[in-house]
Amino acid sequence: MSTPSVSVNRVLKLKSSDGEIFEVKQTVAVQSGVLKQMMEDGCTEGEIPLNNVDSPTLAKIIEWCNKHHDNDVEGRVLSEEREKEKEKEKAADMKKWESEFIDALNRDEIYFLLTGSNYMDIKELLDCAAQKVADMVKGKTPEAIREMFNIQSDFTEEEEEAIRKENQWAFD
Amino acid sequence: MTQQLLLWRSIDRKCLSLLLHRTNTRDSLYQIHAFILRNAVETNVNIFTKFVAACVSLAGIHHARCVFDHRPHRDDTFLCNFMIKAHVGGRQFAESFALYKHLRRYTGFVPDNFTFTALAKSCGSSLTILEGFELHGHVLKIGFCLDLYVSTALVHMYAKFGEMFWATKLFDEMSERSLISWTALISGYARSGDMVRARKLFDEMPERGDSALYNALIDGYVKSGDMGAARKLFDEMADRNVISWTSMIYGYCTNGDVLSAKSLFDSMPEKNLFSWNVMIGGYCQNKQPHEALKLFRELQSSGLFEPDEVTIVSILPAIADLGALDLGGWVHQFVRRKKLDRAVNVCTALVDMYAKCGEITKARRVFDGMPEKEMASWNALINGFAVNGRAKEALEVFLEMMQKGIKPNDVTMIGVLSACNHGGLVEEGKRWFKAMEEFELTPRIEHYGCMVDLLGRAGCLDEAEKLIKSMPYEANGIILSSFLCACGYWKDVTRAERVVNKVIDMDPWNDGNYVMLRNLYAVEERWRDAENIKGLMRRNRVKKEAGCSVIEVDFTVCSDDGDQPPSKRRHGVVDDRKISQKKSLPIIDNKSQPVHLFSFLVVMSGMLALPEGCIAAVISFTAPRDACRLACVSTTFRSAADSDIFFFFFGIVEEAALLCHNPIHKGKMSFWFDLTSGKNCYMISAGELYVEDGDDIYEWDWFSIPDAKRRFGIPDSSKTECKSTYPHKPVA
Repeated sequence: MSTPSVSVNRVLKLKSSDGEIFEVKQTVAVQSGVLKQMMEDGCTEGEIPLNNVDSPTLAKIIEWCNKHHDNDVEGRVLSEEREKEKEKEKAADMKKWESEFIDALNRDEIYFLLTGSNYMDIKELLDCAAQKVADMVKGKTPEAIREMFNIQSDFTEEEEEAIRKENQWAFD
Repeated sequence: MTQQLLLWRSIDRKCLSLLLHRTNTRDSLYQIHAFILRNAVETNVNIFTKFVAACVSLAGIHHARCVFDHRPHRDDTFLCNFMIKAHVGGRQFAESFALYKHLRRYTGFVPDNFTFTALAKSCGSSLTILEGFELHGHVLKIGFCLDLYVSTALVHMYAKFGEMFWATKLFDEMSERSLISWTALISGYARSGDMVRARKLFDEMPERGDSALYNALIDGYVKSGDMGAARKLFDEMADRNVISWTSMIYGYCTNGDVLSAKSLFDSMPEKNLFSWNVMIGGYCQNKQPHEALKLFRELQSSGLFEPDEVTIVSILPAIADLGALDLGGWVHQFVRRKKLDRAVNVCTALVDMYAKCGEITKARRVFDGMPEKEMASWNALINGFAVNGRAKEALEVFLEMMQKGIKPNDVTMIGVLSACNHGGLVEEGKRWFKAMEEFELTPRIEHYGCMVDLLGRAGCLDEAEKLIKSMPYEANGIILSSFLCACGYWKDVTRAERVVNKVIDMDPWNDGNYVMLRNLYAVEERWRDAENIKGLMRRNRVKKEAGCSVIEVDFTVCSDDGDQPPSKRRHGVVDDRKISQKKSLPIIDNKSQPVHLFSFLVVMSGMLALPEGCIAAVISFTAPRDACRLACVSTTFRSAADSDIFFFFFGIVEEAALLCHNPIHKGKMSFWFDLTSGKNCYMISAGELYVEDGDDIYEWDWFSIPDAKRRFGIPDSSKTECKSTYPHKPVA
């Protein structure tokens, strides 16, 4: 019962928050934890609404998944002995592709990607996007981060004082 | 009148002009009274009547009556009619009759047609049928039966009583009829639900009806559920007023056609508070609480009307349905501010709302503060305790209610039984189920449903099955599927198979039944049967419903998956919205989480709100130093930095203890947050440690953590020792 009934040529229809429909192979879609769960439960007929993901973001996510999927499939075809070597090469290629993929995005797009991958439960993509944002905040003061993300501090003065004290070392 | 004025004394004229002053107050009224007494103006009956009228409006009807009673001669028809009418206008119907009787007995009062129209109205409004007949007798005796106004008033009175036979008889005897007489008769028929006669009379009418007549007819059609006919009349109508629109909207709402109702509502030229109330109530009735809330907000932001009792009572069930507790709290404040909390129905709705939102203590507090309680209030509280799983309290309230001498009704009993159900109190449940006979209540199918569920959950499947067979009703889908669930819970496959076909026949759309049985087969490892069920589901086109949870963000209730109505499957044994919402419990449970999940949403780059999970993911990729700084950004960041997700990302929780590897004391100590105790811990560098029993090199060992640098985010240039010793000593 727990093995998902995934067949290679079946296609899922994903509907983004602005109503656009995307078609994705089931084999690709398993990378998303949410979609995988739904396939296991057999409720993927018709359109699957993804209300937290808009169409540009969904397109990006699908691009990512497709790339990763292709990579996996190719890897499987190769012969055993060359596999390890090839694997390394592949991984390096993939890293490169990933960083290019991420670097090409602007800040807003990354945030959307972050929420989207979090919502669809795609661990690798989430990690990748999170890494990118993490790089952006590294070494910055809270004030700078607030400015960067347009956040209003919701601490009271005393609270902030206390937290700063607690984490004093980080500011030295 | 002008001629009469000329005959008056100048002092009379002066008094009249004083009385006609618009700026009169109670005090000036007393002065005028003094003036009248001093100059003996009261002998002029016209002025005296004027004065009594002023008394009614300025000093209250009681004062007016006192003034009237102190007049030695009270036989003037005009004056007496006025007094009777004043009583009717003040809804003192008994007084008006008493006055009439008194005047007839002790004074030379001669009634005229105005007297009888007023008295007929009084009878009609107070629904005192016997007095009505007496009045009719009087009219016949004195000989006003041919008067158009009096007979019309009597027809109207009979129509109000619902005595259509008499109304028709009287109407047929009338020598002349006005539009008002027709309207009175037709609306009488419409009100008593006899739309065929009403329509026939309407078609026979010599002249075109006015809006009052049309409204009465529309109302009749609406109440009998014939929206087509109502719409036809409505379209025919020349001068629609707000009442016609509102009754059409009401009709569409009660017949489940909210869309038409809303389109009418939107095209209404003018709306009053009733229209809003009807529309909001309509959404609630038709289980569209989101829309109801939206409209309620619209009403408030329009600022045209202030919500009244009816609005509150109609919006509260919607709030309860959604679990929109914040808004509920606001409504409560509003009610208190507007002093609406005296009304029993408002308070009862509040109790119900709080209970269904899981705030049972608040529900209890509102209940205790109620000035008076009605049946429904007790029921709301008992049910509230029941759905919150507080069986003991529910039964306590029930006993308290009986001690106060209030006899429970069937809704109460559903509350009691479902309380027993949630608390697993089988014996209590059985006892009260039996006791229903003592309360002279016949158990309805809902009560049987509760009992079946109770027995099933307690594992008394045998008894439950017997009860289903012995009950005087045909078992419905809800009962059977609750029994099926019980079979599933107790892994009784044979019994489950026995009922399943029946259940699926009755309720082929209920996905729960299939899933239940499938899981049951899976447990028994009967894979083939499990597959069969799946096939059956496909054949019946049943979809497994995705679960959804609801949370409230800034007064807006969001459901997890878009357009799924959250209330769709929430009603347990009974379909009555007032009662037993057991499956809503998990939803209430979810309410406790949003604080962490969503309400601290941070608005990022203008539009985007990142959930805490995302932030935690980001933080996990930063160095601990950055993590600590990020914690100072805002509360969301802080809770993300402190959350388990964060530590999860960093590695296992124990290792998290090492994460804030921070050299203080010249690199010989470090500190971290202890996850479990929430305290700051200090770690002394390995070189500084010694073992008390004997500081020997054999007691410990150096080992290195290969990716320590990356994991702890220590810059490569740092000179910090990347080794750890085993016996590290946390000092709190």
